[in-house]
Amino acid sequence: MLTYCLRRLAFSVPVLIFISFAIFLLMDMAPNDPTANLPMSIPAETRAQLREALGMGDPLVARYLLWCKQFFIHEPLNWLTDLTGLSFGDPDRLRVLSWASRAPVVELIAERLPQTLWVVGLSYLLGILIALPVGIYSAYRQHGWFDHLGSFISMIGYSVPSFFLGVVVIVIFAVKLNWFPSVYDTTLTVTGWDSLMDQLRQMIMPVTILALYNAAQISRFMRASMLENLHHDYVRTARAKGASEPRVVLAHVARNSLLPVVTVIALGVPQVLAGAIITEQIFKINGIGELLISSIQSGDLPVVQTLTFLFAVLIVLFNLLADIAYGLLDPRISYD
Amino acid sequence: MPAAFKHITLATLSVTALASAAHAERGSQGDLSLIYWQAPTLLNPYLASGPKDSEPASLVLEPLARHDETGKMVPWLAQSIPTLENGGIAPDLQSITWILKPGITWSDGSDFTADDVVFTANYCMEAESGCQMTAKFTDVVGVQALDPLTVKISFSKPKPYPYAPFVGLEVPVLQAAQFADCMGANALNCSAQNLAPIGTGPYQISDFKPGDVVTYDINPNYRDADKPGFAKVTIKGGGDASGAARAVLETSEFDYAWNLQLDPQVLGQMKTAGNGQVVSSFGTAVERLQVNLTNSAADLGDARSTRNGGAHPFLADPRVTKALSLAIDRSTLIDIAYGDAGRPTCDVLAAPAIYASGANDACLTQDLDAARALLDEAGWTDSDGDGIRDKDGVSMTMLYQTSVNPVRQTTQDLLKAWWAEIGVATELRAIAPAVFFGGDQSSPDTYQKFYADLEMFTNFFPGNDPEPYLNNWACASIPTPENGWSGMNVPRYCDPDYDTLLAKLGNTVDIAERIAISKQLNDMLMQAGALIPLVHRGEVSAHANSLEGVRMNVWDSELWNIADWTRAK
Repeated sequence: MLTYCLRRLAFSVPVLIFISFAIFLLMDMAPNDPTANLPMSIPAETRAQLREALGMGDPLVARYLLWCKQFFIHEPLNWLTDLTGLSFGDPDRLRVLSWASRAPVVELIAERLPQTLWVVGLSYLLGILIALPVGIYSAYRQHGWFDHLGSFISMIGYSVPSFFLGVVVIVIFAVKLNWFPSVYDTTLTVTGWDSLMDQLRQMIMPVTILALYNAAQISRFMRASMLENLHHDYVRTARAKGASEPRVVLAHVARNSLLPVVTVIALGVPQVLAGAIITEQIFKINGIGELLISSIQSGDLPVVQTLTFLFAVLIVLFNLLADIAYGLLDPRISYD
Repeated sequence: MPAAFKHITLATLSVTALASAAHAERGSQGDLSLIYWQAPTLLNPYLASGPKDSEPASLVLEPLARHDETGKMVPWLAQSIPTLENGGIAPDLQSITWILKPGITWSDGSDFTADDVVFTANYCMEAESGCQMTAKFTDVVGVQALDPLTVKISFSKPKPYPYAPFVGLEVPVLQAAQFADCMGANALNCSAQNLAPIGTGPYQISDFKPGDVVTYDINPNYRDADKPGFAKVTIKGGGDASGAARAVLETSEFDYAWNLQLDPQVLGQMKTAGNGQVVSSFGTAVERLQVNLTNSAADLGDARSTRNGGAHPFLADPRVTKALSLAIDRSTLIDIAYGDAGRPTCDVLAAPAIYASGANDACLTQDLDAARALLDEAGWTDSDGDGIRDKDGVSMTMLYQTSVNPVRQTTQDLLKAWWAEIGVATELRAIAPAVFFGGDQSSPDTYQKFYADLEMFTNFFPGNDPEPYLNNWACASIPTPENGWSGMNVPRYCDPDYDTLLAKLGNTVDIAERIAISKQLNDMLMQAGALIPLVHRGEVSAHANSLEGVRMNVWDSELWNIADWTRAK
């Protein structure tokens, strides 16, 4: 198992390096100008000077290698320094800086991570917790009223876009009823009962909307997978042996049906960290998704490059985790 | 604890915390929250990317003089505005001398001196610094501190209007001590300094998350012991304009929302909730059509959209552009697309009011018949019966491009319909702003390459001197392949008389004469049909009814007088 993991990790290094270069190339080819958003009163010479100062005039390979050096060498060293308090190498080494804010990209991401994890992460967990029982019961009582209701709600979750649903709930619960705030306050720190309630109040609308979407997706997978398994011979065997219905459904069918669903769930996690761009925008959560979209709009290449690369890392990592989970759920699969 | 001792402790505490307990006014108004939906990312205006950054910075960093809401200059860190009369401007117009207010300190307690001003000028003028305000220091040859409170700025040539450096929100004074290590190429890497500059303003930055939120508390060393009124200020970013308007006008979560260019119906409906009011202010911004006076036909190759490629087959005739202008119903356009944020205009130099010509106001009323008559007179008739006018085998079909923006696309649709009524066909194009306004040499879609017949965007000039703005239409400012498509003379207008008059403006000091020449230059542009002005655009913001003291200001930071803002009891 361990050798398998190490081998997979070693394989992913060249893959990730190739991905990082591919991202860099794509960004470079896209028509893009970080000075395009400046006021028109700023003359062309100043813009040219600024592009020069940002290093845009250097050859592609030089810029790529600089990014690699900053990201793969300087950033981990800085992290080690912060972690241990010891100093490693030159303390003034250059980090990956955002063009728009001139701040280290890693710090920007660290600032955005808490709200993304709180809102998007929680909604994913909640979505899974709702989806699994719903999927299992809908399949078990296929064509029953619960199945129809579940299908109806997941169709809504699937098909009504969050930019519509988000505005609808804001208009109802923030504007008309005044129950919840329409703007997410990232400066709120939970220190006691009151601030915890404030945190819950500002999270409830975005979390509900995202959880609905996630639950809709996962419950459909779970239901389909259950339906497939319910008619297998081993289910009849279990029943014939006199196992109780809950045991048949939960211990036998559900466990086997989870296999494909685990892949779906594991591969969905990187998307959680990538943030929910539209929902974050609507509720002004300013998480990772908002950082990505605003950086794309302002042509802030270092941020886009770093974020996209981190997403690639996560996807590779969670693919591996999904494979390991397979082995744990299904004893027939062995990696040794 | 003995009562006397307790009293002393409290007194010491209050002395260290605030100026003194006697000034009960400072910080007595509670918290203030503002929403800037385009989130601030950087609080150093010299590197910032526009008002979304420089306005939040204006709570901290201050210039020598500001503009008030009427556009008048008011001394800020300087004692008075230097003029020829008070001797602040040298008789040869080659230098200006500012006297600073005495006793001003930075928020860290150190003294604000002329050396800070000198440092800031050198900081921006240094090559490689990436400073975006270099245009404000054009022709500056030296900035000297004559004594700790006197700064002399010298120019390489006589400057009739020497108020560019250190006037307005984009060019405040930085603290020399803080930015000492940020000269030249280091400027862009000074993260800590650029994200939290030390200033002389009413507030200091307590926390800044780039692209998300800035929080401020009171500058304990602020010069006015009674101000500012609000103890804490939060500027939240993110979302969009309608969400920001909703947070002030409907849910009352915020006290102030900035830059609300929204569908007039949407904003009007939000106003009916009765929680806040919409304020607008008109500066120099004019949404205009740029007319390509040269031929943009693709088969011209490198000569496309250059003067070498020859004149435009029909737009070079001022009668045609006049007809196009007359066919537009500007009032309807504003009702549908701009609301409070627009006024009709027929001048590209529409403000300040003293500079507005008004000689071209005939275009304010739509007159389709007059437009048709003008086209007939110019020889353009529908000879082949396809509904589109033509002459000598050339059909009046135009490509009309602009950036992606809902208001601009509405405008395109309306104009296309009106021009169809006078027999002119229009093909519409919308280009992503980062490409359209970008300087990518390889892209054929930039506004400067102008591979189209008409294009639309807004331009403006900061402050209240139009000379640099009028310079945009000099022959030398035409974008060409030779100069890398730089220059703002997008219509490719070139008239030696215009250039001569422009040179005269550069040597004229008398304000009345400067106004007269500026109007004349505006009229020349309008009569040549180089530009078709559409809408004089204002800035729109909203604030809660309980917020008092807002003096909406388009000439400077909207938050210029935030120290005076209070909460209605």
